[in-house]
Amino acid sequence: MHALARVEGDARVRAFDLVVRAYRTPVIVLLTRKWMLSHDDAEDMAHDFFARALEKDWFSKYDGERGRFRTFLRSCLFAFAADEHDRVHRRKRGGDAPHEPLTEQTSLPATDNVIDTLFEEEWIRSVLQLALDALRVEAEHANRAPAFAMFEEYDVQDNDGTDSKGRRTYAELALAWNVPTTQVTNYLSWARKRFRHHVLSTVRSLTGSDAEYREELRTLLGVVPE
Amino acid sequence: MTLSNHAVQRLRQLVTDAPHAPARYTLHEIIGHGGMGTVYRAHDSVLARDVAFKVLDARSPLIIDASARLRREANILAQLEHPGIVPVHDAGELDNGNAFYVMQLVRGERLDEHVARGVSRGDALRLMLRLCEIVAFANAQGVIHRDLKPGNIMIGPFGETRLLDWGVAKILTQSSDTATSQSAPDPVRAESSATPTADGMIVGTPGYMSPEQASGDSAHVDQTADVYSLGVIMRELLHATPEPSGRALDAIVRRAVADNQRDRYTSAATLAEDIRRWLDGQSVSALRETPTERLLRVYRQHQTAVLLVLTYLVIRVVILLWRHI
Repeated sequence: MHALARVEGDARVRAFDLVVRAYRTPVIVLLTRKWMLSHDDAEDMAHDFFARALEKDWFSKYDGERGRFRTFLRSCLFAFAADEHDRVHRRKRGGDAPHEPLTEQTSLPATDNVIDTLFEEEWIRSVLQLALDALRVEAEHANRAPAFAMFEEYDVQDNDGTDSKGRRTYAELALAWNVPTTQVTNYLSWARKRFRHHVLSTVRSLTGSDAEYREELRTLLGVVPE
Repeated sequence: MTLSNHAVQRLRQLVTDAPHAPARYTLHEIIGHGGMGTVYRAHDSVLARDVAFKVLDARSPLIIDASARLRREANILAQLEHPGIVPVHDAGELDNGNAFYVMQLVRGERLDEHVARGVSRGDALRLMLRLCEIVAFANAQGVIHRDLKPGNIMIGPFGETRLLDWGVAKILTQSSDTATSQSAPDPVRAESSATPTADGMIVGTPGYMSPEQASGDSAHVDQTADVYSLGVIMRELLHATPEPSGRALDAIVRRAVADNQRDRYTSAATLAEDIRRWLDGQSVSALRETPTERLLRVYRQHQTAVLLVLTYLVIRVVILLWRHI
């Protein structure tokens, strides 16, 4: 977040890219549920929103001491969506029609609490996905692609939808990959450790202060890990 | 690939739970989740053997006194020396302050998995007997399990029955434990007031917990709560067997799961006694037999002898008739 506010050039672009990757899906979900847009329309509006944010430099106005970035971004989105809503309505009435206040709360089914929960859930999913992507890249660069593959199979993929049922055991993984069981343990241990690191780094990059970092970790994990 | 809700849940746990075990232990896969801890298969490098490593979940600090509760669970297990109760090898704290303990790695399958593969009525009842004996032992030491269910019962490859997850066990105090008040003081009971469960807090698993547990009336939860859960398990076992259970077994189950504590068996030992009597072909205390039922039972119990006597009598009658012709 500091990079968005204080840094120019590539670092700023990378920071903005991270924000887009972390918030694109939550924004789309929010637009489909709060403004009842179709998925395609929501994708278009999300694209317009981030384009406008970059163009107008909205996110650089974020002050980490005043609240969460997630809340700030949502406020920006609400204002943007309300403007778009007004613009569309004015156009329908010939441009001279008097301003009509946005009434999405009374006309839309999802309550604010539901919207908050959905936005938070999608944000969590995005953060974990970003960490997973980072781990994949790291594993490839570190010649540890099997470690990532095992991690993906053992810890990420659904089998029959339950926690541990249907998963191959370490011994079965070892047999499939033709490595000793201890190597499976080592690979998974490395992948989990690095995944944890990437999750914390991603949250750190998406927050503007230590307090916000800890607050978001609490949202993401239920606790602030050591 | 979009992460499913299950994957999100697992990955969140992975980040929070990853414990840094003492160097002696190498953690492998997660093999279970207990009341408030996660159990890993681990390797003990000092004794060169696989063990089960139970550690407090990172989320568990949100549970009041979570560390104390896990330590207490380890303490209870350590005091309950019985072949049906998993022995504790080691206990301590991780660097982050989370409590852990190490216990024997139990191999086998859960009771529900075991039963799903098919079980005869006799086997089911002998299994119930072993389970009742474990519970009776713990109850006699002043410990109420409070979460008896098929998921907490392991059946080993040679039929060994093990009772797991003592995380929500209650330790009876001398004053409230009328059933065991005569037994000698022991270390478990001496520690009884460490983490009492507050009234109103519901402990157990719906479907298996007794009415007094379900109502949060923890002050009145005693060994009859375990009897109730045993009754539910017995009912499920009997339903899973191909043979009809019959009036006597139904009566045993009915008495075990009576809503009123006073109508139940007073202990797992008395429940076991009735099951044993049924297996031995004797009358059970839970049922007043009709004369016909008694005759049939005696016939079944001494079938060979009765048949021999009948055959003898028939032969004698035939011989008598032969002589008179």
